Amino acid sequence: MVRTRLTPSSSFIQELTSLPGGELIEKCVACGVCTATCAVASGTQYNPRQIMQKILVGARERVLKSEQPWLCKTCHLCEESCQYGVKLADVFRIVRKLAIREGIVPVAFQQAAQTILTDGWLMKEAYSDFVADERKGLGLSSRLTQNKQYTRDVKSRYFETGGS
Amino acid sequence: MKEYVLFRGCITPVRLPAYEAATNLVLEKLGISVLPLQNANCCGAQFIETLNEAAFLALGGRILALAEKAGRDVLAICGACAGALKHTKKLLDRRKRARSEVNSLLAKEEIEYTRCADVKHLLDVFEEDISLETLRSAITNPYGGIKLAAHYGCYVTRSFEDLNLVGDKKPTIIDTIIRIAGGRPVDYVGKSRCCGSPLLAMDETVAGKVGMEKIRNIRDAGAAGIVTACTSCDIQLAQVQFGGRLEKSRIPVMTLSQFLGPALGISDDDLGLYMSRTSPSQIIGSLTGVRL
Repeated sequence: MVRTRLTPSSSFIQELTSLPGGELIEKCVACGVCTATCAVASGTQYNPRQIMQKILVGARERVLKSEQPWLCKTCHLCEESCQYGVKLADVFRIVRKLAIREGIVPVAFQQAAQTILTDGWLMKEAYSDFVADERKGLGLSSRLTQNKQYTRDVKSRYFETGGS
Repeated sequence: MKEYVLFRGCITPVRLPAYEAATNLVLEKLGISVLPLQNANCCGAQFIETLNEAAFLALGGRILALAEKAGRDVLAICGACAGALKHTKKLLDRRKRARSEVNSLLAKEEIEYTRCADVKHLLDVFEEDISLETLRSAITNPYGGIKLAAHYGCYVTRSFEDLNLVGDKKPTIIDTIIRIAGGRPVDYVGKSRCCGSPLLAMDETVAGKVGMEKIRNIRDAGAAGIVTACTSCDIQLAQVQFGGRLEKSRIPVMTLSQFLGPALGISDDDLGLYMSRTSPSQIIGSLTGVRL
């Protein structure tokens, strides 16, 4: 069966389609239903259709350097409305992966990851005596045992020895 | 009796401990045994998940292995944690090599993940472990018909194709519980839309806009309160209402456990209602029957 190709082709599209999940970009016709249903797009600069269009025309550098793929919070709502079966959250996930490979990671992500892997969890700094007392008042344990040894092992295995 | 270990995650025990306490009490009342999972670690949702998949699987894999050691399934009450752990389980159950890699890291602690432990979100427990009849007969103080809006949460109901809960159909369990507890569930525009919380790290202003749109839609539907099933959603939907507005114009936001607890005869203080950011007094005031 010959598949009708509805989208343009570019080396960026070929790069994306070679990665698992990225092949669905080829189904996008840039109709914009994703943007219409997106909770983030409403009243903000974020526009999933625009990112898809930039990908489709092969604007690789602009897409990878853009903050926009990081504003998709993978809520998957657009995928329910997409009539062409495009998994946008997967496409943006792969775009972020390519950006990470080239060292483009938003500071917020770097900092959060650093905290999690060093402390074992995200909230060590926020866990005050006041909150501990609140927990006791609710009959909950105030000793929030979190294992940091393991997350440090994970950090040295995957983040400090060149693993990706 | 169904038994779980509660994976508390990062945010719940610090920012919303009342949700944790209320969940323990409500599930106990409904015949579900819950113990906290000790010595756990972050599940890696969002941040590690985005940056490095192997590290993400290693973090979630340890939580699953600890649950296996305890001989119980995992219960998560935060949507992000539940979504991340379900996704981790799916990938590890499918990929033998990834599982061996995680288990090699876990060998030091003499624990192992062998695909036995399952992951449930609170809503899954209500769907699968507690019959509507059990719930109905446990209600001692029904709400007197107050209109409430359910907010399900993206990672609870839609995040990955491997969610236990829904598949293609829209979730209804919170609406069902509101009805059984004596409330009147209302529909509203954008019911399945996000609360904005996953955007907080990247762009607080955008996150706030997304959250406020949800609040406006709920207000337009005439609801007197919002019932949530995710820590991050609950905090976000309350927080966005503090933009210099007057207290009376705020719509109270309650977690499902804290909403259900009073109708099961559990005291407000035990449920930590005094800690709510938005006062739930209008909702609580609609309860019927004798309250202690």
